[in-house]
Amino acid sequence: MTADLIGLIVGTLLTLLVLSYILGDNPLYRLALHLLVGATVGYGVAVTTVTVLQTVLPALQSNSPDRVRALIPLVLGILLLFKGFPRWSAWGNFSTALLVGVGAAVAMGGALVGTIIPQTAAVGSLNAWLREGSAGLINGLIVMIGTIGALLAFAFAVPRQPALRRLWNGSVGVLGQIGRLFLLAAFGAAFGTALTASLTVLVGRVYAVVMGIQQIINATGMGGG
Amino acid sequence: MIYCPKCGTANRQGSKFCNECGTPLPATGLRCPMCGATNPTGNLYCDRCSARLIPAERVPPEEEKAERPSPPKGISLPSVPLGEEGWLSELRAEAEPLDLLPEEEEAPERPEGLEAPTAPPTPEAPSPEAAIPDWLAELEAPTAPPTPEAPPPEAAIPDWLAELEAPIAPVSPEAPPPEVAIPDWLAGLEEAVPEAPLPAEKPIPPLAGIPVPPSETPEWLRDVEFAPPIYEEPSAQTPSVAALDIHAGVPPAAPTTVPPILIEEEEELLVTTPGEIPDWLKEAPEEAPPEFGGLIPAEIPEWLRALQPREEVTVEEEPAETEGFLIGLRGLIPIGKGLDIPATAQPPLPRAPSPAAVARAELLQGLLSRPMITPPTAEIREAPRQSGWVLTRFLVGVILLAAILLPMLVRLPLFGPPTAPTAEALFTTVNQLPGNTPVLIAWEYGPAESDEMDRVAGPLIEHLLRREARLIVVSTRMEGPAAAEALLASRLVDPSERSQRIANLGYLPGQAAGVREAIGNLGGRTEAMTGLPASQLEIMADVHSIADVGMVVILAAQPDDLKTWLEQISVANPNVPVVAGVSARVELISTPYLTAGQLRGMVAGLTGGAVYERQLDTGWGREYEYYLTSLGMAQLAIAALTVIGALIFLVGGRKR
Repeated sequence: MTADLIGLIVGTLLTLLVLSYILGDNPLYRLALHLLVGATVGYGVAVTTVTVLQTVLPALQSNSPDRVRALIPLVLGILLLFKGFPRWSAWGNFSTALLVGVGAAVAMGGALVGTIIPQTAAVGSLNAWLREGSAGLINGLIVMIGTIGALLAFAFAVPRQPALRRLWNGSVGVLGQIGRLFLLAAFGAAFGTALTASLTVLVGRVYAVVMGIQQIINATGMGGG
Repeated sequence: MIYCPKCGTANRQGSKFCNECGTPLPATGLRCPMCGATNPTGNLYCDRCSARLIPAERVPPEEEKAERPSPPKGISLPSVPLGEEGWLSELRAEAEPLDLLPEEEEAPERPEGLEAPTAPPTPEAPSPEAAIPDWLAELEAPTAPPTPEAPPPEAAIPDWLAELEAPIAPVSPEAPPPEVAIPDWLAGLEEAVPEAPLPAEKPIPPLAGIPVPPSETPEWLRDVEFAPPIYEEPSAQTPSVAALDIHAGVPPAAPTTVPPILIEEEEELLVTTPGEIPDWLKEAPEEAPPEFGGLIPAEIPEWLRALQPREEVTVEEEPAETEGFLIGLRGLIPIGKGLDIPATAQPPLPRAPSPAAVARAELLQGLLSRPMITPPTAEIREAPRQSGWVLTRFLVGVILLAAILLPMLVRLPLFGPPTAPTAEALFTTVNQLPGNTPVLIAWEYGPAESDEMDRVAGPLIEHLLRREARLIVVSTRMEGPAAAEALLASRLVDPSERSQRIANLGYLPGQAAGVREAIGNLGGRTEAMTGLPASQLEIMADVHSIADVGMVVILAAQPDDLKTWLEQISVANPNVPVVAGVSARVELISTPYLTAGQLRGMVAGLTGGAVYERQLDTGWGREYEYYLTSLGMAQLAIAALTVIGALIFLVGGRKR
């Protein structure tokens, strides 16, 4: 029995254990779940450790300026380990602050340059609409109305003056209702795509189980052939 | 002379009121060490309690008597204590003829005994300057009180004292000053024949009933004490005249040890009446200030009274704590008045509860006293519901499995060939890629999504390999490098050619920061499978950062991974072409990027992979056909189950 066959058998059994959830919560499902979580965490720790050591150790052993560059993150990383001990957790505050601060700054800059500005420019670009003809123009209008309506769907304040309130309900209120329809459509589409992805995975698992059983039968000769 | 504190007018010594403005003038006197009463200067015994005002002098030894001249008999002076100061001894020596005090038993005859009644204070007594505070010394300056540096006895005696030849009445309600000449009525007291008529000024009659120890009472005073009243019948409690003593209440010391206290001019002479005040005394203050020998009784003005030094308050021993951890300790700060009362304390309102409140209270009491009873129907309803849910779940699972397995058994031509324009556009883009182009692949999925993502990434990676692209793989997910290796090494790339085609740079920790750092320093990383530095790899020879790659492929199963890579690439190098192979759930969020031109092409989900595979003709068509058919069947089953469930809900809801 080769390692591939053992892996195939274990994989098939674990898949069946997970699929046993169709009968409700049961020990077999929990066994598979615990194995999955444990294996994932252990694998993650191993990968992280190896990756960090692969990056830091060669730099520390060299005589290049990278040695100093590698020493700083090494010290910060060691200080971060103190976060695991409440008595000395304050030693890791600077490392945590550095991680959070740098991460937030990088993410914010990327969101601004890579998403907000390009997407706003794309939605509001009349040339982009006209470039694709009438269909592009209609699509652009739908996108613009949908965006404004979705934003106004969250406007819950109403002017106090009766005249302004009527005007508000006639304009903002109507656009807000349209925006809610767009939100419903967006949520429905998101659910449909998520369901499609999940069904694809299920199809792949069922296919893997069927093919695995077939290979096991063929490998062990249980099929009589 | 006494200077008026208000107008500054000089008044005669002993005046009680200013002759110019009528302001009460400060007076002097001797304070009794026993009862604290103020007596006129020169008194030997207290007018109120008959205690000796000036201590008797100790009997000097024979040697001293021989050395020192014998004092004049009858002079009442303080005794000389042992170990006194030198200056005081000198002063005493100078004033020896007058300072010597006869023995107590040698009570002087009245006239002779008061020849020097204004002797300087005894050593035990505070000297005038010592007893007078500064503020009073200034006021007293014009009166030139006797000081230790006083001149000889003759000079030390002021005029008003020198004139005081006659003895002072033993009991003087108004405390006539010493210099007042003995009136006729007082002179007649020595003969104990009070037959003199009452003078117009109403001199104070001698008082009877004062408890004076017989041993300390001089003979002349005994005569006075038992003399019949002169003017009127004394009441049961004969009023006595004494100065207002702020030190009243202070337990007096022994008369033989405590020196008399010289009450200076700041103290006011008042009448302290232990009993009933006679009419003549009540009327006296209303009229013009009575004068005795031209003297007016003085009163301390308010401003001066406010400046009087306060007598030390005898601190009573505070009770000890009887409870708590401070038990037994004394001197603790007690709780102030009002502090022990809550600030919010409100007096109880004597109001009877309203009937409504009583009814509510009874209702609440009834509810609380009611036993907790669990409705028995809850368990009955729960049991069939659980079994129903298990059955429903099982039926849904069976239907889904049947829908998925059915295409494997029977070929069902229910669905036509898939269409995906974006995948076709991507194929065109990749097909135009020059050979040997370094392509950075962000492998952002793991084994959990590999059943779908492998069908998406497989055709795209194979296309890149066919285009002889050099693949540089990185991932922000820990399981990403392993998933990449599994697909690349097992199905796409010959292991012997792997080092020339693939560089797996492994895991990038740090999320967005890790991506930002990696795309700027690709050459500084390490190959995950071999552990070699990326700079030593042949396919990484000319690749140092994202600017050196010809294309970026993002294989993302989660929306955030796609956004992170797109955003960081837009910051680092927006000109590099970016394409994506994403899961079906990411298709919705990646479409705006494709529309905006940030993505040059995209293959999404199983449908996109099937389209791309059909374009590429990899030979996996049968597998894709099965996947697509099973997926379609499963979607139909889900739709059918949703409709059936909604109908059951509507029907069951109406029944409920």
